[in-house]
Amino acid sequence: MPRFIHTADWQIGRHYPFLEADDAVRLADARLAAVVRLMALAVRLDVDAVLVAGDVFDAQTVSDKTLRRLFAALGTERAVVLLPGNHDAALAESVWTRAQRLDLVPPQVHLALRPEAIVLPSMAVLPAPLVQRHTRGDATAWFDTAETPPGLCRIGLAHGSVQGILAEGMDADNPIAADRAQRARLDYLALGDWHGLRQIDARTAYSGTPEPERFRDNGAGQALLVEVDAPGALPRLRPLATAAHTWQQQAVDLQVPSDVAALIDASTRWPARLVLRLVLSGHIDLASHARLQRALDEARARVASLSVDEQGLQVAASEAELDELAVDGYLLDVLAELRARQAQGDATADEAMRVFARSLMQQRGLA
Amino acid sequence: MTRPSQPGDGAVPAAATAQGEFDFSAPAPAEAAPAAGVDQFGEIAADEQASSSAVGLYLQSLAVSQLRQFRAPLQVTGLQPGLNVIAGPNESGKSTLARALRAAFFERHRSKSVEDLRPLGDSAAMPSVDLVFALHGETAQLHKSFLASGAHCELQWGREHWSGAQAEEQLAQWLGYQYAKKGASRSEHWGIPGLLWVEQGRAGELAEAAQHAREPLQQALQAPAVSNPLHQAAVQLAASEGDRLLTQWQAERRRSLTDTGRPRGELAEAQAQQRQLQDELAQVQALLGSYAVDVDTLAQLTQALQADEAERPWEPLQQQLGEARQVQQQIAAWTQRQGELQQASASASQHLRWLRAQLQQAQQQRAHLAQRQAHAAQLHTQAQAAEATRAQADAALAQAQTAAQASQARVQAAQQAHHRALHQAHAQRVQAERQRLAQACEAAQAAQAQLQQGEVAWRTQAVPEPALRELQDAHRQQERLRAQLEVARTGLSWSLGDQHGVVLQVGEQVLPLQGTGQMGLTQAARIVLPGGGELRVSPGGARDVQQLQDQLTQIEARQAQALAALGLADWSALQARVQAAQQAQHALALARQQVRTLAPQGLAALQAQRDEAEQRWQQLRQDLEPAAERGDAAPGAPEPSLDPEAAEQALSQAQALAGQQAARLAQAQRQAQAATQAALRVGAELQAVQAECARLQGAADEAAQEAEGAPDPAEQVQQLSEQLATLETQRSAIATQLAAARPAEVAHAVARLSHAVAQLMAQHDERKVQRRLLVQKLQQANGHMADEGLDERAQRLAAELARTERRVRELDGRSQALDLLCRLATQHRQAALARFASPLFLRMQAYVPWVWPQAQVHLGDGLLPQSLHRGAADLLGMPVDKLSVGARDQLALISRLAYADLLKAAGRPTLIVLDDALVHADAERLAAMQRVLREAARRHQVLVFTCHRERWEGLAAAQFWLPDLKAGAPDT
Repeated sequence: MPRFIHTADWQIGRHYPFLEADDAVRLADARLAAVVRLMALAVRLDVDAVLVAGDVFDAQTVSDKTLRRLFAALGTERAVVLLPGNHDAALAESVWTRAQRLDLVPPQVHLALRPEAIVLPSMAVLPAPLVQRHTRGDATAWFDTAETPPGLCRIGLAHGSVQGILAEGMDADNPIAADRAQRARLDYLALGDWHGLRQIDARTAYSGTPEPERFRDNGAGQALLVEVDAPGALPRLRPLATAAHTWQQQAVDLQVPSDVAALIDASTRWPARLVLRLVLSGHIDLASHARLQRALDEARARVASLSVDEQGLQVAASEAELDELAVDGYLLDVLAELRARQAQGDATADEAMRVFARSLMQQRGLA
Repeated sequence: MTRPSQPGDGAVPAAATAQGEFDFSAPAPAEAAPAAGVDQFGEIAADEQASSSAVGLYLQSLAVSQLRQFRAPLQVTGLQPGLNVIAGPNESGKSTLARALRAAFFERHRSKSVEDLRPLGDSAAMPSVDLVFALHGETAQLHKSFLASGAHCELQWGREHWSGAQAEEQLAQWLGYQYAKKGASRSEHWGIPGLLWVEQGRAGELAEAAQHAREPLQQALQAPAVSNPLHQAAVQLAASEGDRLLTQWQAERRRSLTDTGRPRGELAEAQAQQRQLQDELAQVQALLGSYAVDVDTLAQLTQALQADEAERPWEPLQQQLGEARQVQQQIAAWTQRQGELQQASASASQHLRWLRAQLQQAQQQRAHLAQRQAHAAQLHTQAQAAEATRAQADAALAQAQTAAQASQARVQAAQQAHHRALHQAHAQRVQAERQRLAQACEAAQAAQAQLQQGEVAWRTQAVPEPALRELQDAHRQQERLRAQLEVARTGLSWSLGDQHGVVLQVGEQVLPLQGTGQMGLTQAARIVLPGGGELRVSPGGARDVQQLQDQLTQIEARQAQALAALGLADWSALQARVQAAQQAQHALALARQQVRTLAPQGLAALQAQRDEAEQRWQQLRQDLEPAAERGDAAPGAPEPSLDPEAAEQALSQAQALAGQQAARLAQAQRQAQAATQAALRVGAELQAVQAECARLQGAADEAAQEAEGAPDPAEQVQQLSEQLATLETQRSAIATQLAAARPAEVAHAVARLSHAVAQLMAQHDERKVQRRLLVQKLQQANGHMADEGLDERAQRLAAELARTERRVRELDGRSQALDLLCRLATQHRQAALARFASPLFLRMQAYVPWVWPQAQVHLGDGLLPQSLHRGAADLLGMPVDKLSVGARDQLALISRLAYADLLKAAGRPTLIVLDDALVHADAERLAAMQRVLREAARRHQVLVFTCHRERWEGLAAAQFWLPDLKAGAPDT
């Protein structure tokens, strides 16, 4: 009886413009590494096949090199069914025709470019490939009347939005009827497009992407192990953790010195595989800011990626600091005017104050 | 330390200074600018003047020997504590004196680098300088000699004495300068004197000099005498780490912003990169767009091609086209047959028409011949009738001719008769005339004779006119003279009674007087009385009387002579003769009148007329006589009558008759002519018609001959008509078939179908080609994506762009922050500096309004003037380096004077030496600067070297004229 891995939204070739360049390259490579791990898992779990529910590639015009790397990552041991999604639709000229032309597709890898049943030893896979960038019609409609060899489980494979289930504002393109599994007598309907893991009903689920690429926490970074004992039996689903990196966005409001201390303390415990976006707000004095900067710089060297948004954070010298720094002469006047300007919400004055503080501390040998 | 308080001046500045809050940035009151400056200064000056006697340097004399152009010793003595002007023309040694002064202080006496002091070409010379000066109240003497082996330095101050290097060190310490470690002394060693001693042409080079004197100046500013404790604080603050930070920020700012605030360096690069990435991204996105379009087009083409292959839409059309073409061929066959029939039918019709025309023509010819023959007969009859008419007319004509001849003869006779009658009447008139003329001639001849007689008579009686006139004149003279004599005569009357013997003697004349009588005396006379006495009478004016008497006598004599010449006895005879002549003349006139009446043109003309008339008459008589002899010349003619009127009447009658006859004759002639012409015309016509008849007959005969043996034309016509009807029937049948087949529609259908088929197939082929091309294009595009796909490139570029934008934002923010920091720091530094430099500012401001009324100078780095502000409202001011060369020089000199004041206040010796320092100043500015110098000279000794003595005259200054000094020098 069929036992397979359901995965989707590999988005091979994706870049991260909002990250530092070296981090971005590393995290792009991580997507491919996830595929390698997934295929290794498939061997270890001894599954019949790996079904990929669309968006294998992030774009049609990825490089030959990217194509080669992906197909190489698939290995040769397990059957794989690759479904074109909206990012890699089966157009007249597509990433798929290119792969075929380059002769990259090994025999056990099935490209589901047409709405035709793919019969594997343990199951009949009904694919709903997207052949246009956007469709308003339900590509899974043909499942209802599709004939499959008797005695084989019917497994649907599709990419799009299940109507009426997902949150409002989801792309209305590529709709999928909510009762498709039932109407088409499917034992299981494997879906892609929603990057998090989400079960729709007993026979329908989104596996999510195996390696997260957004700061949204929606259960990304997993795949599903699906087992169906017999045609008509309910499938058994088991999430498999596949992610190498954790993506997080943290908002921290700094109001008192202990807030800073807590953040600095937390930063020492951030794991290496963390992709973190830190949004800071509140007020901070020069010394605290210097300490925090130092801590964050240290953390940045350790974690996979750290980006800090300080736009909401006001850095100002405290009275005590001014005394401590022993600012004298006309610098006192400068400082006073800077603070006056900061009080009026002058962003340039904020930045000037940071520069001032850093310069002073350098002079004192504090930084 | 105190100063008499002026009314209205108050102690405000002093109080403010004591509080340390004197606002130096506030401009001096406008209306009192220079005065206020001086006053302000006066306060300071008063402070410093007090100590000037104790401290400072006062040069009393300067002597040089064997130094440059001064081979002979030259001495300048009597220098004053205040302003000294040492003047001389160019090349007279001013600069040499200044150089000597420098050498005395700055050059070590052992220096080998002062070769310039040596007089030209004098290798043995030992240049030397001797100075006498007062320092801190003690007189000092300095002797310094150079270059030679004996060169040495001696310094005596009060009772102290130094020599050699010790003496030099002592001097340097006093004056605040250094010696060069090696070689000639340079400006960097000159310290305070460098600041206060202005070399020729270097007045404006203030910054360097001030830098070299920085330390003593800073000290001076911080000296307790100069600065109060609060200023002290400001000085310390300004000197702290602020400047280091500002320098650092400025350096950092300069990395990303230009001085004017435009991006440069990293920021400019980042911005350029941002633009470049935007462009590249746009390009890649355009490529992606076009790639997507190509893919879509490929899909459409593929779909269309597959549909074409499956449906083959051109095939049913091709079948329809085949059918339509068959129909078209049938139509073509029919159309050809129709054409053939039409041609045969046309040919038969033409033949038929020709035959019918032949028949008709023969018939017409026959009819025409008969007609012409009838006409010929008719003409024949007409010709006979015309001939008869002509004969009649000829007869009538002959008759008329005879009658006309007869009447013409009668007219001739009548004419002759008439002529003769007229002739005769004329002859009678001529004869009468002849007779009258003959009579007139006779009468005229008689009158002529009378006239000639009369003329003879008149000529005998006539007195010539001049003689007559002379005689008449003489006669009138006589009358006049006699009258005069009568008047002049003395009347003598006497009555003697019986007495006798009284004799009157007048001239020769002796006249006895008797009885009673009287007479007139016109001349002296004597009356001889009996008894021998006498009475003498002298008529009044006796001489005149005598003269008159003489004239009278003369004239009477002449008259008598003239009369005698005329054969006349006396005056009365003359009168008779004149009367007779008048009568003869009268008669002559009458005779002349008569002749003129009878023969107006003269007698000869009259005679000629008479002779002509005679001749004419003779002629007429000859003419008439033969006619009379001929008698009855014309038979039947009327009796010859001499009556012209009757003859004329007869002639008229004869002529009228002859006219009638002539008219009749003309008519007869016309009729005869017409008849002849008619006969000729009819004859000619007859001949022509007969000829035509003959021709027509010939043609008919010929045709008849030809027609013999040929088929009957009428039968032929019948056969042809039947044939034609058959052809028409066939043709109409085919036409009906053709119309039913609708050839135009069929042709249109064929065209349409073949076009559609061609188009469909072409479209199919075109699609194949397009698809091939598109596939090639896409594969080519794919070929470029071996290492990086378009989407990947777009994503990479987007990422780079996002990072670059982030970087630009950060750099820009940082640049703005640095810019702000620099601005704020500079601003506040300026303020601090102003507070720090305020003693200097005060001293500068003491001089500035002298030259630039109401102006303020702002100080900058290195205690240098930075900008000149003309009034309180001028916030920006004029940067010093933007001032004119002259103004810059003047401001630099004022700065030096202010420094001197500061140094003096700090107890440093000050000697101010100006070597042609104000060359760029105009007269007005020079005067202002001289006032400034005079003011400064109250506190410092000032030596001015100048080549313009005249500009410095009239100042309260010690004047030295170099040529005079040289002249006074002993010549060696």
